[in-house]
Amino acid sequence: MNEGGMILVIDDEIQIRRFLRISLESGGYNVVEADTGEQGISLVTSVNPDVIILDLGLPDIDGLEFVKRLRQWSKIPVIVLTVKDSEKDKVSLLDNGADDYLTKPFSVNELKARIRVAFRHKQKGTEQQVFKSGKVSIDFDKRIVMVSNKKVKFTPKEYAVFTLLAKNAGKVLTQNQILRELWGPYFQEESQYLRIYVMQIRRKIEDDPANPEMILTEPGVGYRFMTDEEAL
Amino acid sequence: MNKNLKNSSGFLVAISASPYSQYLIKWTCETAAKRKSRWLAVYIQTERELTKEENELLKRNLDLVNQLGGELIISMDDDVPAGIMRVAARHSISHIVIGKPLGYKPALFRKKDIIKTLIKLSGETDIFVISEQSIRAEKKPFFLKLLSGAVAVNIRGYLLVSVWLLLLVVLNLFLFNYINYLSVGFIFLAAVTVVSLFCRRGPVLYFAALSAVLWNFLFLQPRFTVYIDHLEDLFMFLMYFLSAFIIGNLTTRLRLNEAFLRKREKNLEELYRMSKVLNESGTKDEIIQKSTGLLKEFFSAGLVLYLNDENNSLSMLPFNGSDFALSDDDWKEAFNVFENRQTLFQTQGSGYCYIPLLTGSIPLGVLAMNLKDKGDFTVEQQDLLTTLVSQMTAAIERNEYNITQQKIKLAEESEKLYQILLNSVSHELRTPITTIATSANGLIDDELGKNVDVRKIFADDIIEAADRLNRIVDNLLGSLKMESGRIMLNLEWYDVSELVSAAVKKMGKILKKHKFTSSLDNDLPAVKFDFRLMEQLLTNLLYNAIMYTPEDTFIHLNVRADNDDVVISIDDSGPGISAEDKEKIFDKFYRSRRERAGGLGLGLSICREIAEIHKGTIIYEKSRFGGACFTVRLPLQRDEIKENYSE
Repeated sequence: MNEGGMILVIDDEIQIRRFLRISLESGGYNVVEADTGEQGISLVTSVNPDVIILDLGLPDIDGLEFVKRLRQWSKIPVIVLTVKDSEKDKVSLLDNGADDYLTKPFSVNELKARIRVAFRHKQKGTEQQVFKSGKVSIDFDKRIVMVSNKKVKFTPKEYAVFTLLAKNAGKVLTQNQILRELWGPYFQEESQYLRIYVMQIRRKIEDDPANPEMILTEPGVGYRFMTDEEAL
Repeated sequence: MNKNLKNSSGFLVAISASPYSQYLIKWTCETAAKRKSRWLAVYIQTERELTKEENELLKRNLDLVNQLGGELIISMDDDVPAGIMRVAARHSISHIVIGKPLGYKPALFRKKDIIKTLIKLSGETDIFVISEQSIRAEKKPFFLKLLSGAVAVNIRGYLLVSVWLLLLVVLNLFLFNYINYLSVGFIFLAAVTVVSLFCRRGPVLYFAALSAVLWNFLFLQPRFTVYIDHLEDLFMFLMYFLSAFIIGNLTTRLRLNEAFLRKREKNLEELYRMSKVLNESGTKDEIIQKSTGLLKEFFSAGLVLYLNDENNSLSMLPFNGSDFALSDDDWKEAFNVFENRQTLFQTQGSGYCYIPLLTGSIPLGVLAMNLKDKGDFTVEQQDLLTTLVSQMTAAIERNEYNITQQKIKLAEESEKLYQILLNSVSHELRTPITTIATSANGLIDDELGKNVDVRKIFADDIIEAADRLNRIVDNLLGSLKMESGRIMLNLEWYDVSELVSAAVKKMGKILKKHKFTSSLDNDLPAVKFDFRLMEQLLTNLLYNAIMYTPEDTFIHLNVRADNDDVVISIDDSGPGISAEDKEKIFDKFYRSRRERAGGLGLGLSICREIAEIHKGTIIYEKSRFGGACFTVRLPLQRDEIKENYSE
């Protein structure tokens, strides 16, 4: 339970707001609602929420615009509510500072899982020395990765990709974000590099690399590292 | 030599009605080609009229320019060197080519030395003086032709003035019995002035000189000698000679100048009329009809126009409005012109001139004009004709460009509309589906599902979303049906109050958020209508009233009979509709920019369709309660309603 966690819901559809309020309040969160982007922005300053849930189809402000404005002065995690077929929008939102997204219609569990991840990443400020989640444990000092208590040998680049995903466990990372982080800003278009590394990592850690359980592909968007803890 | 070549280069060859110009043209073309430079040819037309032979020569020279692909400029100026320099400046020419006659010596005092004057005026421009020696062999026959031609034309003028002078002398000999020799002199002087009004310079000067001599011989003392006794008579004679010479010279010059100006003005006027006509013409056909009409009028000659067809080749069929069709051989000639992009004036044979309608790419067609009986078709007329044709071509091209632009714009707009439509359809359909899915998800959630109140909320949301979805589907299908025009009206007799209560019931609980009232006249007659469609109309109007006004404001529905109509009106107390939107709210897919409630923009357009197929109307007015008021009128004349509706 996350007692006292404050969540700002910005959506113009009253039914969705109602659903979010009921679901989140039953999870122990406090919920503040806004039905326009402008109202949402002003509520961010007045109530200082821990997480923001933002609908993309707001009548007054474009979702991307909202995120860009917010990111000028705030690091509050933003989860975007989108519809299907909007991969491009999702990627540009994530690249511009949104933390994660939920595709409508979504289930209560999906919602709660995203909120949990957002809270955890917000609280976890400093770098950990050891990462442990489900079958995976990583010792960052010694650069040792254990999966199901077996040591996995990675090349340096594989290790970099894997640890980047693990550090953001539960959160989606776009291809651009990963490429920019590991290869630098000039390789953002070279997504085939990444695809090959992810394939190799999957061969080493997944029980069935064709049906990955840890490194999931978000089609058209990027990758998400899932552990038992984050599973739905 | 090379360092003198300026980079803004261009060669300008000055040509005249002389056989030597052919060599100059070829030389310029070759030299310009070697230096990868453009070249132009200029012909300065002076007030002196050309003889027929000269005209032929000039045409041949100009044809050569066309064949070699040079640009041709014909300019009018009595001062040839100044005219050349003017054209050179206008076309930023760096090199001027001019011919030098064999045995040329720069004249010290003669004004008319073109080469010398040109060099003096040239400034930074390079002057190439090409000797005519190299074509000496060709010289004689042309020269002889030229001479005979020139003399042949003027001889009539000399004969004429001689006859006049003879008559005048006879008259004066008779008058000399009554008046003195001075008066006779004045009569001669007046005659010189009169003659100069009608004749060319040569005959006038001839008349002036001969009349002076005759005056001296026949009338000055001593008579019948060339001697002059008195000093004052000698002065008189010299003064006479001088005056006659100057008057004759000036008058002819003035007259020629005037004719020259008039011709120029006529050309300008024709160009102006053409551009005016072209500006006023809207379609391609109109442009062609009107401009070919003008060409026929200006040149009083028949013409035929062949346009290029869809395959970008010259059509075999003449364009409407052509005076005749070309024979197969002549059409081939036109086709060659089309392919070579060069004007062809056929002086011999058929006597047609073919002018391609040149554009940046493929010519638009070829215009052929019949000049068979126009032996005196001058170079200036040729120039005017090609200018007018190129004006016409530009207008056609501009017209076609505009049409393409409009098509592109239309396509862009319809693409935009399609995108908007797609977005709004997907938004409108998805929102209720999302609500249904998420609420259903909440219902089956272990934790949330236990709470009875929460379950009620979710179930209500699902029902409301399903209603909304239903309405959207109804409107979309309704719109499609109306569009197809094959809607089957199911007309029956109904009490309007039945309709109202059914519509209100269908709205369900969303109507409860507003203060809804209704009032119906007691003695409403029964009306024949399609119940399902009219119900859709009413629910659309009620739904709009609910969506666009704040909660807890009132909505009032009134039904009354008004003469031969039954009138249903729905008033609300919301913000009303802006003047800007008022015009368009009944348009399909139109949504107010202020609109927050979503929607496809179909509701009101369907309402109008439904009202219209019942031979009724729907209008928007400002409500007397401050908000919006939609009024539907249905006629009671039942017979007029068709059983089957089709556009």
